[in-house]
This record gives sequence, structure tokens and C-alpha cells, in this order.
Amino acid sequence: VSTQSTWDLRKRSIMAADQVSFSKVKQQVEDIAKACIEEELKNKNYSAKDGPSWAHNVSEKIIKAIPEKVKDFKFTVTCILLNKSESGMHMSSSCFWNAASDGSIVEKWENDTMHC
Amino acid sequence: FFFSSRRRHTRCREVSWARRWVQETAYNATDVQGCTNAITKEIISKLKEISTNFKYIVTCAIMQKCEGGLHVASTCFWSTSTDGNCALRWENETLYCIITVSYTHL
Repeated sequence: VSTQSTWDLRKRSIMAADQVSFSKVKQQVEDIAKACIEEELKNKNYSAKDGPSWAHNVSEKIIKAIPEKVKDFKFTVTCILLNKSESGMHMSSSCFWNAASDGSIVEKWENDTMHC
Repeated sequence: FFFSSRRRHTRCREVSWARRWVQETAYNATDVQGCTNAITKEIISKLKEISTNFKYIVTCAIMQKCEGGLHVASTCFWSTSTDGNCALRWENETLYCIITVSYTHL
């Protein structure tokens, strides 16, 4: 193995380590989130008594499922359950991070009685 | 991480700036999106003044007071010694406002 190709291999492995990027794992994270929400809320109608535990379960499921498939990231998951009614709701998010490696997804789900 | 408890107090003080805005405003469907955007941007810029050694995520949800229910849950996968979050909730006669701030050490 020549000196040039050894250096190329080292350079490639250094670059690969630096190029951990959320955009590469975004689709996997979206699929995990969608599946966890569907599993927890399928066929359920909004209930004020159970709402807190459902929101908690959805975010717990997601945060446990993600590290099994996606490595090298820290995650924060927020789940909002909103009863369908005549009220308005708006949500904004701002971030100070590394745009090359970090990212976020928003997964929306609804049925007849609630938004998630 | 000795920094973290001081940071929490500082952050909550900065975020309470938003409370004054919320308490003076009635829910208005036209303006509320601009309000949430402005609150999150202002909080991020104040957090950057405190320290740029952290990454920050700020979310602001404003909900009109009505007969519907709202539940919010949050979980995190990070280093408990260097990372953290805080959440604050306010209301006035027409709206609820929930703000969460997460920070992770670089």
C-alpha cells in the first residue's frame, strides 16, 4: 500500500467523522416518530384524563427508539396533544446550533378529536 | 457542571421578559404568529449574550383560551451533567403561553 493511498484512507475517515449530519438521518427519525405516534394514539379519542400520559408515552417511545437506530446525536422530543375545538394555537421554534450537523423535524398527526 | 444552576436562573429571568409581552396582549389570530416568532428570536439573542458555548432550542406555543384541552410532554436524550432545559407557562384572560428552552453544551 503506497504512502499516498494510506493518507487518502486516513483523510477519508477523518472527514467522515466530521460529516455527521442530521440531514442524513432525518428520514429515519421522521419514520420513527410517525410510527410511535400511530402506535400510541391509534383509535383513541381525546380524553382530558389520559391526555398527559399519552403525550408522555409518545415522547418516551420516540426517545427510546431513536438511539437504537441513530447514533452520535443528542435528542430532545416534545409532544403536544391538542383537543380539537374552536381555539387557535400557534407554535414557533428558534434554534442556535450548527446548521451543518444539527436539525429538527416536525411530525403532525390528527384524528377526529385531537391534534398531535 | 457548576454553570448549570446559575444558567437556569439566568435563563428563566430572560424568558420572563416574554411574560410582560404576553400579559399585555389579547389573543389575535392575525398577530399571534408574529408574536411567537418574535418571542423565540428575542430569547435566542438574549441567550447568545449569556454564552455561546451552548446550543439552544427555544419553542413558544400560544393557545387561545377555549373549551379545548392541551397537553405538552418533553423527553430528552443528552448528557445530564452538561445539558438541560426549563419550561415556563403564563396566561392572561384570552391566551396561554408555554415556552421551553433546551440547552446542550458544545
